[in-house]
Amino acid sequence: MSISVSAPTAASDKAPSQFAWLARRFIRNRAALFGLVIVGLFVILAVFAPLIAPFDPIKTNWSMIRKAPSALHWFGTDELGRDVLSRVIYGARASLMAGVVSVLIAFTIGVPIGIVSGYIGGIFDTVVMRIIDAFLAIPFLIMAIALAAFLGPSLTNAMIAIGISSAPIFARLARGQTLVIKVEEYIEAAYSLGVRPMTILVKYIFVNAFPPLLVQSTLAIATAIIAEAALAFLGLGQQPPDASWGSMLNAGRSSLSLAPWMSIYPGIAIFLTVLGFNLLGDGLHDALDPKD
Amino acid sequence: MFGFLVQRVLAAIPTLFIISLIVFSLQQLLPGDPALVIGGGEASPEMLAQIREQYGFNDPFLVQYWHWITNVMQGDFGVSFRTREEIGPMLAAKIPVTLTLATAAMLVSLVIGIPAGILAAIWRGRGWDHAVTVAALSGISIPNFWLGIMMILLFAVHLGWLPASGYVSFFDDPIQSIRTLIMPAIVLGAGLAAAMMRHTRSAMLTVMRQDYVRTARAKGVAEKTVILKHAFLNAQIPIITLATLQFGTLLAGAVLTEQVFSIPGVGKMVVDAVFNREYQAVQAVTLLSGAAFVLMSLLADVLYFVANPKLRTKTL
Amino acid sequence: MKRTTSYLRSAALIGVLAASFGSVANAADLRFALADDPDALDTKSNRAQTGLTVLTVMCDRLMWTDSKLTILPGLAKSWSWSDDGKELTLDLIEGAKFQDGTPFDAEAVKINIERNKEKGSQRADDISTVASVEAVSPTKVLIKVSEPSAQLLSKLADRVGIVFSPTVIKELGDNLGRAPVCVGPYKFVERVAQDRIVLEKDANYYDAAKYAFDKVTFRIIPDDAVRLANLQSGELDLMEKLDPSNAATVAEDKNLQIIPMTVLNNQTVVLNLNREGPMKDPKVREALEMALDRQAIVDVAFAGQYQAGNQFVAPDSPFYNADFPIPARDPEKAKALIAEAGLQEPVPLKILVPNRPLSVRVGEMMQAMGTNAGFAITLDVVDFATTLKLTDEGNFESWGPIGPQFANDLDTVAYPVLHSTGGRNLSRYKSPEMDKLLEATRTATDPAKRMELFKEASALAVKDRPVLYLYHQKPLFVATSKLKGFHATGDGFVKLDGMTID
Repeated sequence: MSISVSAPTAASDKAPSQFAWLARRFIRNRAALFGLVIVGLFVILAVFAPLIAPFDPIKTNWSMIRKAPSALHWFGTDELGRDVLSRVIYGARASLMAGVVSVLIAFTIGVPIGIVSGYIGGIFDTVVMRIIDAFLAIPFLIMAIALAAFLGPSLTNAMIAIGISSAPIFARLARGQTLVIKVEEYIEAAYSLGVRPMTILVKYIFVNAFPPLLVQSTLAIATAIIAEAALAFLGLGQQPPDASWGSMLNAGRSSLSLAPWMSIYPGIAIFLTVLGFNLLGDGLHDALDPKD
Repeated sequence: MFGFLVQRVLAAIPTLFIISLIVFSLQQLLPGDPALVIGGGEASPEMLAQIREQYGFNDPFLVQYWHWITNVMQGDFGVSFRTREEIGPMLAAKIPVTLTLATAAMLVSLVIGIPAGILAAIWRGRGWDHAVTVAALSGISIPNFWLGIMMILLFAVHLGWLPASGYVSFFDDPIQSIRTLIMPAIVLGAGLAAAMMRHTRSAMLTVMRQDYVRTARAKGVAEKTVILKHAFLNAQIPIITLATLQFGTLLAGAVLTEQVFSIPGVGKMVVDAVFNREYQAVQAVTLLSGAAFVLMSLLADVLYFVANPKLRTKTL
Repeated sequence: MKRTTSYLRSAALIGVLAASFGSVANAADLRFALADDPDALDTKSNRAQTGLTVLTVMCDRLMWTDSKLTILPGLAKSWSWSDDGKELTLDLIEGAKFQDGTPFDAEAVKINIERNKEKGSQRADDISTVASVEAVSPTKVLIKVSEPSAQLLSKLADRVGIVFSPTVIKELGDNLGRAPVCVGPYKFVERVAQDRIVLEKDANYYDAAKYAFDKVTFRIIPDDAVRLANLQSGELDLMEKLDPSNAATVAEDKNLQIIPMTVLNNQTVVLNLNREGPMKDPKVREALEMALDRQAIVDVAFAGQYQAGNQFVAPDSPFYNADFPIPARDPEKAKALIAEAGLQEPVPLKILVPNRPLSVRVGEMMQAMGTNAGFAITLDVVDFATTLKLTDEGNFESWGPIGPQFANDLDTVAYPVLHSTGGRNLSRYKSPEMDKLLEATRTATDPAKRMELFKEASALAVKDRPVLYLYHQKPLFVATSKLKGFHATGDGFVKLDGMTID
């Protein structure tokens, strides 16, 4: 998703007032606020899981397998008699972590490459962008599956695989922003004042490219959460007995007609979280977009 | 026009080359010793050595790459370790399956996305607009494999209306073919329909702010004509571009859809190949989908060029 | 409101219409769903069970086994051993033809057995004792063995017994599996990888009258729930590998029947004895056994459909050593044994678990059982290819549930796992006593003597615990209730003679 740039601000002293202005714009956007609330709720669930979850998520109870939702087990029990609600609550940890960590990885790899490439320009930029284009041409999920299979199934490896696979998008976006920013007058001015290139890259270009990158990050978290669920669904994510929403869907699949609640609730959890991040990303985008 | 095309095609060549390098490196990445997979659990050390020799696993990376790429150029993608079938024809049999699925999904997304987007743009800020926007975001946020499971649960297991899985060629049995395609097409098309709707809405909004639309309105042209003739005709350019570009994404999305519905397409082939360590099949599929993406971008450029009268007259 | 109702009504109508368009099965066809995509349809390279499922429907074998593992005649109508047990003469049936018209004769049998002995053949170990094969006459084959071989007949009743057309062998070589041609009731038509394999009746087959179906279509549907859903909706006639937890639901369905199959197999936890760590100590291995409740595994993970066990054969087998029944779970004893071994609780143990839902379920149960019996078990769920690498390198502590899926002879479930040179001895178990016993079973041509030897080997395995036997699978088939005459070979493969659908 490409984002049009807001007017770049070089002076950092303007930041607080601009932030307040953005915050006001953001809060007026009810959908975005709703997204923030959803994400916040799931973060609370993840952080306070031990306090909120009614049962131990890995405690099996073999006399209670595949019981339908009831007053005791609101979301029913799974094939080993574990409480699905508790597993969904604990699963928020794996999913949120997967979303945030893999985007951090993608950001850390992609953004420096993009900024440096855009800044240097010329043949170097052309070559780097060809490589980025090539990476972008390979379907994201196929890349992630192959990488996750290579690294071995675990939550950490799934995050690394998703992070690496989504890095090219960040490089592309950061480079595009850099191209726009580097011809701005204040960059020229900084140059003539003898500011070191490293400082220009970090303090001027990165800082000004950050808002659209933040929007992209928020949306990428949504994508990454789905990707983690997909990998776990294929058996390449969180390992038993710990739960992630994707691995719960994988386990629930063989009991689909027998215990549909094993598949329904983790899916709803994924859907809501991803929706939250998408609403949030959209809201940020609108708040930062000067067009309206 | 011709010069533009040549330029774009030439630019695609280095990209394709780099894709092939990346794709080939995947072999190095995949874990497990391919010789062990080929030899099976009981293979003796001598047999493993022989397998490594036979398949050239001992050669340096570039030598292996050279062998592979020259074979690929001649249409030889290698032989499956597991079934001893040739990968080229196997893939050729699967491409129409995935294309059928992707086309059906594209249809679903166009039929839902474009009208919804136009209506949302017309009634901007009103109830319908909000409803469509929420629906679109939901469409993007729903994990499509889960949507697939839920649809199987409802329409196949509970109601028994549709077959739970499988693929029937349209030429063998058109009715059965459509019945098996309905759920996967909706599942795969849902996300794209949402993207399409959002894109149509914003493209329409942009166009409707333009002077010629305002002029047409001022001249008293009927609103329907304004919307369909003036606004949509111009808004379709970015929509076409998106649709073409998204076709590649559909192929990737097919990976999970095919897995859920047991559809024997390219996506299912690549997942099975990853798990069976069928390196050559993984390479073939990845290379092909990369190439398809490049081709689609090229096509999008061309369409953009053709559909945009202003651009055309400028260069001609 | 009114509008909503009419929408609902029309939606329902569309549904009914759609349902009525369901394909009508030709009564003369069989649609059989497999859980896995078969590997090569060639005995020389075949390793997976599903490949043999297809080949068994297609091809005759030189011999067959029944459920009691008695050897029955097939393409070899009779056979005889020389007095020293080193020469086996086969008398072949006359007048049979391969599906491509090539006549079936002793020369073809010779070519096939020799092909299975070639370097790179997955069958080489099966017939390692075969020294030479001679076509004495068109209907007589003489097989010479280097030493008396008790299991050779069982091997001729297994994959080695499938005979492919020499014409096709010459033509396709190692790629024979792309279009196999053998002597048998159904010939190969087409294969779409990961989707289906189509066979059609061979009119030239000598016993064609016994086969009711004109066409057999194998559909490959890996997802358990989807496979069952397709059978329930009438898209299929027969499926393999029902998830046992669905057995109760299926049993209530009047349109379906469940057919459990008794096959010689076992599932185990393999303990790596070659690795420094607690599992080297026999006391800790015993403690682990005390921690496990096999019946609970069978009841919870497999809805009671499989059979708990503690030896390489099931408790109801005549080869089972009744002196060593399944021990009851005893967490206190497990803890005591750990203390005796001088270890601290909890003893850490990492189990490699195959990446399949039912295997993971068993792994998670073992993990839970270990928790209050002095063990801290972690699971490492890996796919098949990675498992091969790790176990081949000896880079694992324990692995399971895993084990031979099917066999028509005890040798297959005992020797490769327990003999120090066995191909599946991944625990690296080395016991001269066990080696001697197992070698003796291979040359013991007297069945009673052989049975005694196997019972002794069983007792020794129970005592040494290189692997812990957990349970025996009883693969569940489900068919439409209209299907009649279902039966299978001794090693658990469906045969279609006499099978009909009303």
